[in-house]
Amino acid sequence: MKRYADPQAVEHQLRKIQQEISPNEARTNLFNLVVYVSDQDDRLLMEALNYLHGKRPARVIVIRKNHGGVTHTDVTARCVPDENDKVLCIQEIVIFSGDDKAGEVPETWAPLLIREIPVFVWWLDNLDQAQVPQLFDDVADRCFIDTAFCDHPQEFLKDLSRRSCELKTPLSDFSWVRIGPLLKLAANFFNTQEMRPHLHNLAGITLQGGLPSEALLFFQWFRVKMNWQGKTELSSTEWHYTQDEKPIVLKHLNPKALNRGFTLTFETQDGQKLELKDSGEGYAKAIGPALNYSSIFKMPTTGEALLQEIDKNSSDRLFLEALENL
Amino acid sequence: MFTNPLLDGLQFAKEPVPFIITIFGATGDLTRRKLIPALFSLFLKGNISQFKIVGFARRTWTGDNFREEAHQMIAGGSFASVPEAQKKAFLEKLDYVSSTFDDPEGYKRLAQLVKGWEGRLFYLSTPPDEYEDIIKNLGAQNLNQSVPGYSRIIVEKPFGRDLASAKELNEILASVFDENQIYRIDHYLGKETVQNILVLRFGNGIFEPLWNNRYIDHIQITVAESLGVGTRGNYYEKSGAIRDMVQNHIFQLMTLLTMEPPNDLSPDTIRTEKVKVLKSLRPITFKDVKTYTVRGQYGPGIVQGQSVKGYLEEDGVNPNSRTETFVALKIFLDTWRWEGVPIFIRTGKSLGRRVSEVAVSFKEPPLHIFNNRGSDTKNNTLVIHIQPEEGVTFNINAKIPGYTTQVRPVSMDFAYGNAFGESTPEAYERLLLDALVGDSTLYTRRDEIETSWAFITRILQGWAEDPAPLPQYRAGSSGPEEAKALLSSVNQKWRKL
Repeated sequence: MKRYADPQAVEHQLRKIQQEISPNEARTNLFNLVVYVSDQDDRLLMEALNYLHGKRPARVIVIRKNHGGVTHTDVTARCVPDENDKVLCIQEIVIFSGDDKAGEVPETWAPLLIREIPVFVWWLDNLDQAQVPQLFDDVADRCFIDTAFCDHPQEFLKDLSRRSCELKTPLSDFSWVRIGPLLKLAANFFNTQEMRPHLHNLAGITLQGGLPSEALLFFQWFRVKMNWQGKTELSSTEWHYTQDEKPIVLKHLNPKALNRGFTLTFETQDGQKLELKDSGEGYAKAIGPALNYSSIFKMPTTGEALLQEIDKNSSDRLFLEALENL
Repeated sequence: MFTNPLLDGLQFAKEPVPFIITIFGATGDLTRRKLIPALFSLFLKGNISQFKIVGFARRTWTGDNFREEAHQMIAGGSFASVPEAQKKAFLEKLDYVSSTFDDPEGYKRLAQLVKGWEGRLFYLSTPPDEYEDIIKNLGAQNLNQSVPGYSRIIVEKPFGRDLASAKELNEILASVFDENQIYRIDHYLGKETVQNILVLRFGNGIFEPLWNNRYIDHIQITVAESLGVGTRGNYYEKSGAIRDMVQNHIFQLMTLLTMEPPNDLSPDTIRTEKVKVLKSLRPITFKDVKTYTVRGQYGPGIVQGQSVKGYLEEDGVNPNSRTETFVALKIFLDTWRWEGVPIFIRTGKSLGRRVSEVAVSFKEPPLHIFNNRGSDTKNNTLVIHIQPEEGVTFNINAKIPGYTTQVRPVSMDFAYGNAFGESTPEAYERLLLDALVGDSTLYTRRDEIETSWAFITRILQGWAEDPAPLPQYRAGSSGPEEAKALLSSVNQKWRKL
């Protein structure tokens, strides 16, 4: 019989490491975070954990997929003292999942979870074939994905939309979290009394920049909120809807990460163009005749997105709405 | 009228409409330390985007001067690493009116700047004796009119120095603004832990059944400061500990702690419940003042390892002053819930440690089955820490491991800021944002102010008639010895500072 991870040995090792790093009292862990990651996405994981460090004490179990060889476990901890000399630690248990893929099944890591605190599973890997979140229904309180990791985000989201009423584990999509500031920017832009009539008279929106999953979710949110009619076609960068029988065209051009800049152009039925552009200096500005609007615009980093989701209890209602009728 | 369906469900329920905020007394310390940094922080977090800030003060500055000064206010600390472009975008929204507070011309210029903005907020950050001129001039220029949009006014404490002056100030305000336009600020209510009292009480089912005189023995509220009056001697001479801390901050804590569960979180529901508590305060009559209150004044001593002056030697203090720098009260609420539960309040300057906390002490078990075995059981105490570290501690009794049944107190500790590991927002950020969106829950209503002053004014009158010398305490101690007697009447002690 093989033993991939010995819970008692892991606990003993963690206590010892923590004691060595900091003999002072440690803050209580607030949650478990289980991360499925391939080596190529390691940078994102490190970035996120570095951000979390010192903000939330937690137990993190990292499943390194496709590592090859024999499945084995490693234990480490990083701690930082707070102003009262108590320490906030991230306890890290890394399971290197070998050729037998034994590390990937929940049965291997579930005994290592701390009971009575929430369990978040973060799938930081390609999603196209992943059984997410149903694989974790028995152990996870929430599941985090990023549809930017899909080769075909529209298909994945459409499938998710179809299954949404069956999902037992609430799901969060980091693509959705990243576009949060864009949603707020657009909603605010149209919030003044002078701008509101334009919102109800749009003929098209063009988003230059942003990843395909981000653009799709942004347009879906806009469509649902404005109650535009029509079917969302798969595998396209252009979508056609109608409002009161007037056509509306949504286009996604120049796909690239949203934090590398974007331009959002709204065209009204009478041909007026209203443009919102990322200044590249931390705020977005409106460009166009008689437009005087600027607002702080900051995309959340992966760490910020993770922290934001960890502090929530459920899926974002707007995200679920955006998936409707996809 | 066109709607904006895009706003639905987005997590910025507190996004204000485009607004202009005028800060009266913009060259003062509050603007420098709190208001401009708070507004900048809200801007950086994306909570406010379409706005203008107008400084209004006597100093003959221009808009450029104000912007330069404001640039200094957001230069250091947590803002040091903010890109200059973002600071520039914020500073572009600043303007300045140089005028005395009684000159109608200044207000005419202000009216021009304010024109066209949907929201108009006026912040009185001046000494209270300027309030009347400012309020009346705002009215004269119709800047109190809420159509279109809104017009609101924020008033800094002190709201009077007794019941009569509080009523007078309220009358002046009411002659120009409606009550729903008036926001009386008490920055204590902007603190996370103070707001957390509501969540702790009404978001957790476990406490409410125990939150009454059947299970609670007594409550201690402590707001202790290690600093003396410093350079604020002049101000403090007119105020004293009871006006400076009890009438406002501590009564706010006490009302949140003892109020009945509100039906909802709307501002008036919560404030109505708070007023009910204040109205139920058993009056401390003239003859009871010595039984239920203790005053004190700090003498020279050692605070945090450093020798410090006594109050009478501080700058701006009358050498014969009878202003109290310490006060302790024993109060009762005449309600079904709290009948017979004493609430002990103490606050003071130059005490041994800076501590703000509320300690709810529960009754002992009806039968002490462990105490005859050499055990040291203590009352269960729920302590809500406000300063310096925000958090909650619950003290319970537990068995010491071993063959005997020996029991000792242990604590379950939740450090609010540090469990979450990040700094909580400045109180002024939250409060300014609330005023901008019209949420007055954390602001004080007229009847709250007047009811609390009615209670405090009786005590002040009792003290005024008492010729006995003020008890003294050493700076760095826990306060005057006389304060201990308040608790010994219920066989308890003050919690250690």
